[in-house]
Amino acid sequence: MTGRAIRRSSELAVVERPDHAVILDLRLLDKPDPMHLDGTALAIWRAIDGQRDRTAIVAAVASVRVSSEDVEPDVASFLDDLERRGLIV
Amino acid sequence: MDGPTRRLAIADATPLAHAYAHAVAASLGVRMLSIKGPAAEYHEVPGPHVSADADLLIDPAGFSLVVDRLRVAGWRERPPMAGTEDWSEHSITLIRDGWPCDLGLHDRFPGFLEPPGVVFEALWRDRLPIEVAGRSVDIPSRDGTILIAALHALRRWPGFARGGAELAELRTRFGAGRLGASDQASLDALARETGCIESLDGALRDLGVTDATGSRRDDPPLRAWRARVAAGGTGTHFWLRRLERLPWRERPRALAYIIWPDEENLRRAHPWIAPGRRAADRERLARLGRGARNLPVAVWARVVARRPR
Repeated sequence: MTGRAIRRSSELAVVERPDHAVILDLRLLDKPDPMHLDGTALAIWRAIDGQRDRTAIVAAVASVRVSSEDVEPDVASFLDDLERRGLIV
Repeated sequence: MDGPTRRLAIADATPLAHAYAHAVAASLGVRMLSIKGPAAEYHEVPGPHVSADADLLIDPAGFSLVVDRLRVAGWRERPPMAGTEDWSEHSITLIRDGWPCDLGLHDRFPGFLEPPGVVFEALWRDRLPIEVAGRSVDIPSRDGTILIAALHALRRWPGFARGGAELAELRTRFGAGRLGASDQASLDALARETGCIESLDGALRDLGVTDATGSRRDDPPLRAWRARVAAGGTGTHFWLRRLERLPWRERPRALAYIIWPDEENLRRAHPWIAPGRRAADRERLARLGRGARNLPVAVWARVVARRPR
């Protein structure tokens, strides 16, 4: 692993179910809008374990979904989105 | 990939709501306990574990702060049907668009007759943190959770079979010597400290909670509690209580409203009624039937409320 390890924000409330997860950013007390994750988003979320970098996350998602080439753009876009929202650091 | 607009399920929303409410309280430095659902589940205390509400007991000194902060954050009070404003026993139910569960905010819990601040301190002292939605939230001790479950069940009994069943489950789970002597003594001590020995009225005798000694005077809160229990928590009881408080000249109009409320208020209290006047009339008739059936018990409860023991 060469890149920076990505971890979830410590300011989240998270409900994890077998087929989905719902996360709530507790920094935004005035805007409590839970985010629902399933499918590929859920696979990416579960791959964010505080140890993996972006490359490792792509590989982890590819191992349970499709090939690395296919998931790489989705993973990159979703991680960017999570980072922009402050849900991962 | 899914986004944040997907409809939130109650089973997911409730733990998130507990975690959220605790974060709000913590931001204000106000103490809060999650009661009923997560506490009952953690302590394996029988009762309603799955709830459409996140029930929270808040330090009375900071109650208004939390409510005001939540209002700023877009939560609003569920509008009650006119005339039922005083039914909620010092709790406020807040709702928010997109959230299928309510926030049930309490500064006291009915049946604890000591001052709310005394009760909260006693429950807070023995609190323990558990994890809900990945966050640490405080809940009452097992003793506190048992007392809350018993008082909650008593409010429904004998009007609702479920309350009686919940009490029976409590006795099965913790009665008949299943609690050791020291556990029984601590439960009894907490019941005394919080002033619910008289309100429990022997309901937890099997769990070692002693009977009332007569030390507490027959004060109005105890009489009000006994009336509520005798009525089984039915709406008829509360309507009778409201009628009694009105001047005689205002009673006929109030009675007409109680029997046949206007559609707007009816729908506010029963939001599940289908659209259309017929559906509203059907609910009015059903409501009237329920009221008539509950009337004898409710009248008896008012007698109990006036009668010293």
